Amino acid sequence: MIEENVSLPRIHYLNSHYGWKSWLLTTDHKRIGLLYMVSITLMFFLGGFFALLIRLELLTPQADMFNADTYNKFFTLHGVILIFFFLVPSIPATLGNFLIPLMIGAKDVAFPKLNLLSWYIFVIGSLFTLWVVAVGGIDTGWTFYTPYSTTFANTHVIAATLGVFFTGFSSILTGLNFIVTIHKMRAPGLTWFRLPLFIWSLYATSIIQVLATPVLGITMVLVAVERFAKVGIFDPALGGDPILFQHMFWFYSHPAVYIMILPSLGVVSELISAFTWKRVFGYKFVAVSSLMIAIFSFIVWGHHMYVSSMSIYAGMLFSILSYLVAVPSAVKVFNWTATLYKGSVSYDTPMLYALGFIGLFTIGGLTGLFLASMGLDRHLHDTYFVIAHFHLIMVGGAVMGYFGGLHYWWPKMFGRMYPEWWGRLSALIVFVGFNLSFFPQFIIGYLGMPRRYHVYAPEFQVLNVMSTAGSSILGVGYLLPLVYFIWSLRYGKVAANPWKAKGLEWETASPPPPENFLEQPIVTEEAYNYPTRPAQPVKHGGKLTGGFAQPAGTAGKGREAEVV
Amino acid sequence: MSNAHSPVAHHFYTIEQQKESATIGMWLFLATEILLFGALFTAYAVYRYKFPDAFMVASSRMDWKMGGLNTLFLIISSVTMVFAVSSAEKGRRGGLLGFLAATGFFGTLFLVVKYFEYMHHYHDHDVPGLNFQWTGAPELANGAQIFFFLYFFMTGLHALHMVVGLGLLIWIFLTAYWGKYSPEYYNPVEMFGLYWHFVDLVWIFLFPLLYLLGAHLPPGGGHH
Amino acid sequence: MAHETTHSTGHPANGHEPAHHSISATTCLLVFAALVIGTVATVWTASMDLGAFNTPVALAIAIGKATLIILYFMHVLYSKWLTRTVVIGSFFFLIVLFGLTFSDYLTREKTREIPALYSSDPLLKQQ
Repeated sequence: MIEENVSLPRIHYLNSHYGWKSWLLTTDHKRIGLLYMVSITLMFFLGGFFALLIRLELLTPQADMFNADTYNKFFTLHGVILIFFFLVPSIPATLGNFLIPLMIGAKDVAFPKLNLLSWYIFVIGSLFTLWVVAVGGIDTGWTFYTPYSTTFANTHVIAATLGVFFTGFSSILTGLNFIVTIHKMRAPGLTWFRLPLFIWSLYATSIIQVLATPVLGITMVLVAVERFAKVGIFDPALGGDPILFQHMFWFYSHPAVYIMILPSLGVVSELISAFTWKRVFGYKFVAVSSLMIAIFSFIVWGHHMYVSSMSIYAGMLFSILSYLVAVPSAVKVFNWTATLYKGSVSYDTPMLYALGFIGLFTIGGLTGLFLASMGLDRHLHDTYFVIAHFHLIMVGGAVMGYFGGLHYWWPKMFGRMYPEWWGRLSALIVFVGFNLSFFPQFIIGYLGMPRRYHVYAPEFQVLNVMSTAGSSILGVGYLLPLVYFIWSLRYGKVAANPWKAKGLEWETASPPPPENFLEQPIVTEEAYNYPTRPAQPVKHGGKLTGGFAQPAGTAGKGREAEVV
Repeated sequence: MSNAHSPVAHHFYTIEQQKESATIGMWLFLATEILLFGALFTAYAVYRYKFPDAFMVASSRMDWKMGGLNTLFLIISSVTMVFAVSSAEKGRRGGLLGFLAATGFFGTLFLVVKYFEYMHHYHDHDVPGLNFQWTGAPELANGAQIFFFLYFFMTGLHALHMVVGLGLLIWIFLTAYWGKYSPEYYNPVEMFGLYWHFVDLVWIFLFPLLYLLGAHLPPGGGHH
Repeated sequence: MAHETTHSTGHPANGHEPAHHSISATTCLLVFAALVIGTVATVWTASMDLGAFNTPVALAIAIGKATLIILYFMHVLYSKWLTRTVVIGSFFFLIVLFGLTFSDYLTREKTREIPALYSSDPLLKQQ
């Protein structure tokens, strides 16, 4: 972080209009991004609260606090809320909404009214879910597997599926808006291979949102209709096939994992570049790998169904296809690592999150390969190994990326810095808490503890206690930013571009004016064009920096050159 | 947000940019529709693979003449919609209004026929979840119920799209009547046209897959 | 200001086609005739029992009709590659949904009873 001496702009998007109407009827993508941020923060802490209740119950092998039914409701609500109402909208709807027009030099997204509409639809979906929480919950698991959900569950399945249906619709509209925006609203000179990698990853995310979500939507409606009218579509007693539900559900829900992680991959690319003061190594490969991940994500869903009585031949096919996803994911990790090499690395809060992300994403991805192999999955299916794996991707990956991005762009959004020391502390707490929560779960899962039970064999207790301890540390790590972010809105040090980062979004004022740019920006250079190796030696205060024949350490010199 | 004098919204620079954005946006929306109906067609294919005989026999309870008539209505309404768009492009307001009215007329006819079909099925106790009773061979009952459920769900979803389409059509008609469109700006007419053709396109697949499976069987599959 | 200069002139620049592209009345009526003939052909072929070919024939006619509508009525024949990519892409992913789902259903009956064949557990062998 670099000390700046700046003052807030006189008019910006936050103070240009006042009153609740100026927020609830806004079509400004920046304000809509903030609306989403407030909504998903509420959902995040609600879902996190259920996680803590789950972990509390698992402190001992017997049932202490809750019976099986209550516990079932808790893990279902934890999953439904955090997946559909936090992770799926998290980065795209908040950071994406805020940043896409800024990063591509546009005044707004292509369809501003549609953007607002999608927030309202999200709110309607959330209200359905909150209503479910209030009136007694749902106990099917976030996967709504049939025939339990359609025939046997005595909880509020229909309302919950409708909530998911609505939030899916909101997700579709956001994705559609982003695709058109990225295609049609780019500033002059901003060619595809000059786009920031965050834009590439959101573009890939939007493709999945647009193409996969409709299938989930109609599947949720079918579940509701089957439950309501008993027509037999998913009921084996009436000739229906519950496995068909799983196919249709996972056709969305596997790609949905990439809706959650791809934006984080994009954020991390931005962070790695900004905090190594270098162009991302292999830019084009990282950009295209996002698209590859999006496309591959559609052809691997069957790896969730190896033990579902799906044909083993289909299982073999899905197993082989699943390994494909590892390739573009690994391309990203290797390229980030190569970017770090000989970069001028600074360990500010966003970078701590990014580094944590790389480690956890790598481990999460590799354990995914274990689960993609059909033989090993027979042993590990529905154990805590799976839980640990996908929490590494979704929490260690997606949430870490979201937090890293929030810290990085916070001065952009509000013109003020969060307290850096507290930021680093909370990043550290999150990392420690996370690992303590989920590494033990790999072991207990491998040893055979199944998921979704509130009681377990006594020999698993030590590891479960570790996990619960870790989750409470994690909870503290998540509450700290909530406190200091709110604090910083008023008391934070005024900042414009404390990272001296490159990118169109940093060219305008912080916070940006309502129309984003006072005049249309014109792009003449690549993304991340950090002054690492100037063509000519540059003179700064009588000191010579940079130059051709200085392969090592030039990056650091470049940063000084910029700051001086 | 758009300026009262200009059809170009504030965040676009040119009308071309706005038009192209709308076109891609509409096509992406139609892509979601393709996957939405596509999921149902997949379910249809799975159950038809599982219950080939039941689907054939149940399908012979459909009145293919009604379905065929409706196919014709939709095709005609698509053609009038094409003419409506080209009238708008040439700035012929009268032609635009006339062809829009014709499109709405044939769309409404479709729904009227659909209504009578549904009523007929209701009286025949063909509606799963409401009054389904299978009088044919008992081993076909499950498959037939799923067939009729898919029939009602898919044609119902299609009819819902028709209703929404007719609502939009009324809006387009009124705005055209008020003189909002010109050869420079007739985006909404064109986008609505895409939607309308898509709804037609779905029906083109629904018709043979739902109505004609058992067309070579006697009505009721010989069980009546 | 590449956007403005390219578009505000109104000329098809850089190989872009002009945005105005409606089909002629003759083409439209020819397509209409083809669609009606297709509908009649669907009904006619359905009245015959073609055995295994019943569905492929019906689907082929439907796909032909749909293609006509997409290409002519929905202007894809005259549109930019971006629009065409969206159309092709959505059908591609529909085929993925269809194909991989059927990779299960078409091979399910061929799945052998694995526990009974390969397990050393005598309980499983009895099943």
